[in-house]
Amino acid sequence: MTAAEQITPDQRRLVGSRVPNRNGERFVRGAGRYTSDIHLPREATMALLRSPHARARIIEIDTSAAAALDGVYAIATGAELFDRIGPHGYLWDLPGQKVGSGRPLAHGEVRHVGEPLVAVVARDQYVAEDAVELIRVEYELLSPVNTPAQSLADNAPVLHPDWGDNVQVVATWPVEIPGLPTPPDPTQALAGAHLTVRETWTSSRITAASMEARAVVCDYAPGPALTLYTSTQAPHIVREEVGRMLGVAEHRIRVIAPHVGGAFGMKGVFYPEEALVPYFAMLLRRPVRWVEQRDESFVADTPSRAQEMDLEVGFDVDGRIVGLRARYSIDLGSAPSSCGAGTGWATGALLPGPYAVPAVDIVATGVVTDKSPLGAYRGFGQPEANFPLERTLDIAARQLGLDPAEIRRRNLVPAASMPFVTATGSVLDSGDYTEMLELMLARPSYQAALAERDAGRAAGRVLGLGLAMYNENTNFGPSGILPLIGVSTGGWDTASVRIEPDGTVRVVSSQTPMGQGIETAYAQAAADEFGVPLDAVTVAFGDTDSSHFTGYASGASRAAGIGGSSVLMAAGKVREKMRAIAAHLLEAAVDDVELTAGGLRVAGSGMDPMPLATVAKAAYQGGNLPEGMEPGLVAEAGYDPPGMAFSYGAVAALVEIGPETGTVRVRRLIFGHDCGTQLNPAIVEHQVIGGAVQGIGAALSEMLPYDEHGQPFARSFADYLLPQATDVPEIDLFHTEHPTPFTLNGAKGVGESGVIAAPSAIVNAIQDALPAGAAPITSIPVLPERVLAGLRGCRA
Amino acid sequence: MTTTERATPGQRAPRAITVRVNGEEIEGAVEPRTHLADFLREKAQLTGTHTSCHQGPCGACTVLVDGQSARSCLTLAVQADGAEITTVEGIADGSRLSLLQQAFIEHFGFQCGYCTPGMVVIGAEILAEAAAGAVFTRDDLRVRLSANLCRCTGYIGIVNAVEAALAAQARGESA
Repeated sequence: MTAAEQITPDQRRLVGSRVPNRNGERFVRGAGRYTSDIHLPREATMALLRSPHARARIIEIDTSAAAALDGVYAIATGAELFDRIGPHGYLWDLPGQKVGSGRPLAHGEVRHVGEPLVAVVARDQYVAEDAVELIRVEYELLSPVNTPAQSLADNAPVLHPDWGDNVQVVATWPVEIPGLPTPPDPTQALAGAHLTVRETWTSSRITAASMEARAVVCDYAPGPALTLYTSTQAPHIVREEVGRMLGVAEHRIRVIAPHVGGAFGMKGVFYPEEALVPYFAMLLRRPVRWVEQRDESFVADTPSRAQEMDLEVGFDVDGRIVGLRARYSIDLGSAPSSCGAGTGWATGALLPGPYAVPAVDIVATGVVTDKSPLGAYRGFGQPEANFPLERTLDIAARQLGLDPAEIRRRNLVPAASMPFVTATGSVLDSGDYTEMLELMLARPSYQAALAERDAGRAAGRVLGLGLAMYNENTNFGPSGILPLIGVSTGGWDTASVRIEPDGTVRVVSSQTPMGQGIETAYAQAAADEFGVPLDAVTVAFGDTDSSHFTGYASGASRAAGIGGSSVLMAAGKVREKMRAIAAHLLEAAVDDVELTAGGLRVAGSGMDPMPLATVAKAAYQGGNLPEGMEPGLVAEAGYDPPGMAFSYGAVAALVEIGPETGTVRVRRLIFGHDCGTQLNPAIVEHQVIGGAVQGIGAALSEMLPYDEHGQPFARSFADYLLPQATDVPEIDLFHTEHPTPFTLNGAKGVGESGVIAAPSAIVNAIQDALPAGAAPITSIPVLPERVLAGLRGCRA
Repeated sequence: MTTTERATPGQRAPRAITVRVNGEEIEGAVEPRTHLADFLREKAQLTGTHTSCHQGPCGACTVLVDGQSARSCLTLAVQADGAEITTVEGIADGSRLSLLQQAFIEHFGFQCGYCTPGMVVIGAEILAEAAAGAVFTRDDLRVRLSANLCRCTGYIGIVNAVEAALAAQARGESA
């Protein structure tokens, strides 16, 4: 039985509706519980001494003055802990990748500003920070490696001597698959192209900047029994890492992710502090906490993007892409995080985007430099792919005399070709990309934006309109594929559904909410499955003692499709059992019993439904059940998708430039979006808007620059400019719905859609605003000085 | 807390302060360097006031000090001695959410919830000013709310919520 056969459309009333986020009252009352809100009796506080140098040899560390300070309980250096805490593992473990020491504290050398090298545990934050200031370290300064070009240069210092060079990994496309035809080589196509466009594109290093910084609190009991509260997207990964690094069996470790105050991929990476805090809790036999300070976050959180791509695309006389060649670097920072070069891999695998590219030749090179290790951030390699290609299309259109919309129309993968295998080996599952483009062009707001641009220009203002399209890889799996692409874990996800003795419903998910609203969406789904009101459903999550093991956890836009499907599977199992029990109690055939709003009944009998509580009571009393049936009313299910699902969309931006200042104002943003079935359209809407506004930041203001000494310029929100309320235009958002065949609910992911193409559309709009002969803008963010240079017609 | 200058023991001697927080008198002995956010979170045990940057730009820790919005991370607890503080926990009237709080829920004015307390408090200040006769356009609200950062929502739900609450207040609706 599938869910659709049993619940009639009038009962399926919650999925698809704009149900408010169920955390609302907690959050508006300030009653959320984030990790730093948790205080335990006898707790101590950890603070870290972080390297002030980009690259240096550690000659001597003197902790004696710090140790003598009243209220200091423990101090440890990297050398002292080297044999006590093992190396962390790698979620992204690309074939042939090299790794660093993986230890939480530096030893021997420091390789980036902010690398932790001494940990102090003290009475409170104030004393811990006082003690950190008393530590004296003698360094021998070494010349830092600041850029991928320096890192790859002959005679460059080698960051990790055992590597031999600074290349962490190389990945190439196309991928030869035994038994399949040899993929086409674009060399000839590019040589014979009517037009080739070649530029070098830069996506700067940026960071998620969740409003809640990271925090870890660990309770200790003899055994040992550790309870670790941490602001993470992946409690099971944390448990696995802590267990392995500290030599504690996993069943002795409980990891809880309380409310998570924003994550955006950044908290999907395992961090040194998540090993240090439980280490000291065990050492001191007392609770230990660590709360990241904002200035730390700019060097201690994993940033992302940081790619430079030389992209050459060939077009035929009609503007159709004939082939693509890309050579790009991923600036991984000082050593791979647990995310490794994953984002760089995604860029290559997804470089063709929504377009039919017949042949590719792509080489990605992950290199190490003396900066903070790279990790994940919303978009995960896809914005880095989208920006070069969408900019290239605009350049080609101009040279071919085509409208930017027309060149896209000619290259989009047609709906009739779905499912479509790209030249990089991805399977685009479903969708109508052309329809999306046409809807955008016909949109009244798009027409109004065009008219506003033209009227403004006629009045002497500097305005531009830009367009970009994208697709988004979501529902990251299946488990059989992930090891082939360098992911060390499974791609499935799991949930359990329990009917409590009073007939209410408890869903336990292995996904971790971090603001994306999944607990609301799952409650909607479960309420529909059992025909109960929303209030009769509780969704629990984020606790390894109750949430079942999951591999990849929350990330890669997996919650709605994969997690949501596991909820449906588990609910289906429970419904089947309830039908069997009800049939037994009603002395009816199972096939005649239906679950309807209010309970179970014999179909067509006109009887009042038997309440869920009656069936639950029987299930838990246990003495009057069908022959051989186990008592109880709970089921667990794991859903492994047969394939990934691609959300997609179109973005148009109208920008206005201040001719004297070079500042860019986004006046309109129009966003067409398809993520398959929308479980909750309001959640979808706000995910897209939130992502798009992060895209405004990436396009115009956000970057983590370093000087020639490897010193980071951005250490606060005064240096790292997030979009503010005044930077956000009104956004016209529209949707189509092409469900994916690869989930039970038709849902594709939505988390990353907003951020992928918004920067491209904005930069295309800026270029459109500049004089026709202006050099192409090839780097984001586009700062005012670059815009002014463009207005003057010279290249910055 | 960002790293502060270390003080001499004499300068660090705790001082007794009394602060009225959401109508309740809270007494405590605090070091002069203790900031108000820590006092509220740890002494008054009101964890609704969140800290995100400890440097001023983000506004997550916004509270009302004698009715005026202030960064509690940039206010020393000793400065608040004798003051009347309203935190996010003091915005609702018991079981009844304020119009503004209801509007935040209805208009999806939050996602992760971390910046929400600061937004609710600054929104309450805006509503109080409107009740006293001030007029706010949508652009005025954007300017005012740009005092606080949010990374999840893109602000649209927040602006919509405050605008809706202002309209409801102008219509004479009560919470």
